[in-house]
Amino acid sequence: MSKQYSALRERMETRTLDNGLRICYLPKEGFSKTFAILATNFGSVDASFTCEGRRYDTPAGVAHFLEHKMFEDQDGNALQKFARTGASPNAFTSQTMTAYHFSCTDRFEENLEILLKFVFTPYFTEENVQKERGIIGQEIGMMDDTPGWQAFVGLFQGLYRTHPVRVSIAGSTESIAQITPETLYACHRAFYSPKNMALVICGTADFDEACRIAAQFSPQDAPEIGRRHYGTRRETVNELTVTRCMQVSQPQFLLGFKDIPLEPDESRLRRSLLGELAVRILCGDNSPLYASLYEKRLIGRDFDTDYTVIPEGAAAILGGESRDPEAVRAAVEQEVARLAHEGADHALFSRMKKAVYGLHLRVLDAPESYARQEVGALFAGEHYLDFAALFDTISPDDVQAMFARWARRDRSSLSVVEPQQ
Amino acid sequence: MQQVTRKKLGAGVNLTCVTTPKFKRAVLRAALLLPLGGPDAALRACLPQVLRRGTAQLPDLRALGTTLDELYGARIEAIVRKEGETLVIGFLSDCIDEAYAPGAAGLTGRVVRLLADLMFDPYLQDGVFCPDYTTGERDNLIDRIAAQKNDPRTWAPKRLTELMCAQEAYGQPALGTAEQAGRITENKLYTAYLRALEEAQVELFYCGTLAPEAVAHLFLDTPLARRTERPFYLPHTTVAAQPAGDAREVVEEEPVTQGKLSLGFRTGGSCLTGGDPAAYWMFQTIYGGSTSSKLFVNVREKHSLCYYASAQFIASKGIMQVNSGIENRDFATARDEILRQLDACRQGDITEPELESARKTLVTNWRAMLDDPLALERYWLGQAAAGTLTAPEDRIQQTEAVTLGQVVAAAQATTLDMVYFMKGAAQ
Repeated sequence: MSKQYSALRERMETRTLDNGLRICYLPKEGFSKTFAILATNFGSVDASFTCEGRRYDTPAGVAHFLEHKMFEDQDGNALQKFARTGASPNAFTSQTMTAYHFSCTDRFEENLEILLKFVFTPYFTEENVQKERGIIGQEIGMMDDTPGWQAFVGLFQGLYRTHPVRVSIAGSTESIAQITPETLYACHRAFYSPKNMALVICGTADFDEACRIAAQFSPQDAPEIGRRHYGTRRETVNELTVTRCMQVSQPQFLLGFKDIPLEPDESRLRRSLLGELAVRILCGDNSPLYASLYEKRLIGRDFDTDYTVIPEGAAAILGGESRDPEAVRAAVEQEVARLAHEGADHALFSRMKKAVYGLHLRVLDAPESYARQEVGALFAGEHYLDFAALFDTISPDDVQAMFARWARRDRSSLSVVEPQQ
Repeated sequence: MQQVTRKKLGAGVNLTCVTTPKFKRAVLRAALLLPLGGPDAALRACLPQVLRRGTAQLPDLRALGTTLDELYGARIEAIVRKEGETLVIGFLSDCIDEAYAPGAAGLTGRVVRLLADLMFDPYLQDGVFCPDYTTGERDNLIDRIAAQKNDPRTWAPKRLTELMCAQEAYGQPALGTAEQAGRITENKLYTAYLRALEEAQVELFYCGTLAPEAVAHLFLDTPLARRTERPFYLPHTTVAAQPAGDAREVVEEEPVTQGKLSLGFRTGGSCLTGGDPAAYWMFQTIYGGSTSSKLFVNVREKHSLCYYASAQFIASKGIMQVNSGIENRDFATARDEILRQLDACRQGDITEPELESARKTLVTNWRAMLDDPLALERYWLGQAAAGTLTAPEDRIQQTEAVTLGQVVAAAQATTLDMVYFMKGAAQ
């Protein structure tokens, strides 16, 4: 199916294969590079699930471990196969997805075949799992030394009491020691079903040919997807403040406002856009509060805002470095209360909307960013390019209602990485 | 498809335009090129941050922020960069292309005028920079200098550069030192500002749909292009082909979990403007520039010594670094393995598939850069700072022609200068 987005001057091709694999192609005229991403709706939060009548409670870090191990096939490592074509392959695991991608300027179809083959062909042995523990152990060590990451992990521990989003994506050296080939096979079976996955291509490719290759190199039958368990939900945060100490020159912090999960029929994309707009109105880098905190040297240019939607949860996140994170928190909470009560100034609302629209438009210049956004949208049954139309449906009242939820008691948590004494 | 034009707009003022209909955004840069280091280093690093606080017309962050939002979220960021032994300070901006929003006609021109105002018409009090902005940004700079150590993965290579090039301008930090920063006052800063405007080479950049003449016209309308004839800084970088003496080894302890091992090499003179950079990029890619490189395959995959081990050719200065994160106990093993892989390259132990795969990877990378306006900005600034105008397309052609013999020669010309180990004291 072909869909035109005339305001954005884009045309998108989409198709769903018989096995359920969703494919989406955004042509980029004049681009040298083509980017393809094959992702599964399976991230670090999906550690507990039931599949084929059996319950699995897997060790922390299993989705990420699986990502590392997928590159290895019986006939060698997929990285080396990509190397022969000059493509740049990589992969990532987030809280909500695992994705494998490459970019190339030549031999796209050959690369696509390599991608599909290795992602759909699990090959795990005691020996190769053992070897990977060493590499991932080093990666975990690196993350342990990264203050921004530690603040991120701390924030989710503060916001949630039982939700698996509390656990660091890569797990710990102790948890990955319990991962076995059997665990990895079980996760692959439960979540690497074509109907739980999406393929997004951006650049210059032959869409029909790409679909043909995808049909040929993905499984004909799609096993049932595992049923996930996220624990019991609470409206309020788990801890108001989470603190840890590291070698940092001044405190780094993330402040989160716990929002309600998506309603059954709510658009995930619209919620994300609304959240992003709200958090920018609150304290985005062109907002009045940002200017005031910056002038008091309570925040710096590294200060950033975000809004995240996860299964059975959502949160606004703000943070950076500060000599006094508690003072930032107090000021931000006060502004949330004011905005919940008075609503956002209409002039501020409309200029921020313009700015956020401009930022999203620019995503379409970056195939990697676009493709990642599109995958997330596809998993929610949407298309990222609908952002322009959805934007028109967002009103000042929507934003005010969101602030009202953030302003309720015990909805914020502050994660701070303090300098070591 | 991409047309690159370079035009002199005034004395020491150059405009580079990449004209392409590919993107929905335009990228612009206005920057001053000055010598790296020296007593004004911290003042110069502080300058763009103070200028970014307000103009005579838009005197504070609120006014600036409102204007940027109205320009569909145009971004203007202060930049402080090191290109070889040249310091680059100024502003980088990206905004949507005028064609993509109603009422956005003239948007590029407005961004150009804003860049010019930030640079030439700052918010002043009593004829100098505003004391509040100066002290605020002075303290922010001191914080930023201290914060460089927060992430060991980026700090270790910086520290290696400082130590290895201590006797060269390149060893000077772009941000200056905390001591220098502590002495910043609004008067000193304003004097340094006037001096920088006098002395700098000005590099302007635009990537987008507008024709080069139209862009030149936009800039010529502003003080950015108006300068009288006078001597100005001509960017240059001294390249040492060999280390000054024997290889040095420095171990420092930091309270981090994972040790960081960084090795610094001299390239035998290969750099942007000399030696055989095309062959050197090939060698660097085979050695440690991709997931099929010798370092990745051996140090990471075969010996599981690290999560990352990669080589980087810093062509602007003619040096190469290998960076990795390891357990303390693996220091000697990892160092020896990294050097063993270099020896393999020197001895010509490079297979045809390794050579061709590196060639393809490099060609892919150069081509992919043509799709990224921010990467193009960075690329052309690097060329300007090196005083060369080699297009990415030329780099592709040169890469296609590199032989195994040239790669081996590049490896053989490589000499270890320093081993730096940041020992994890928290292990």
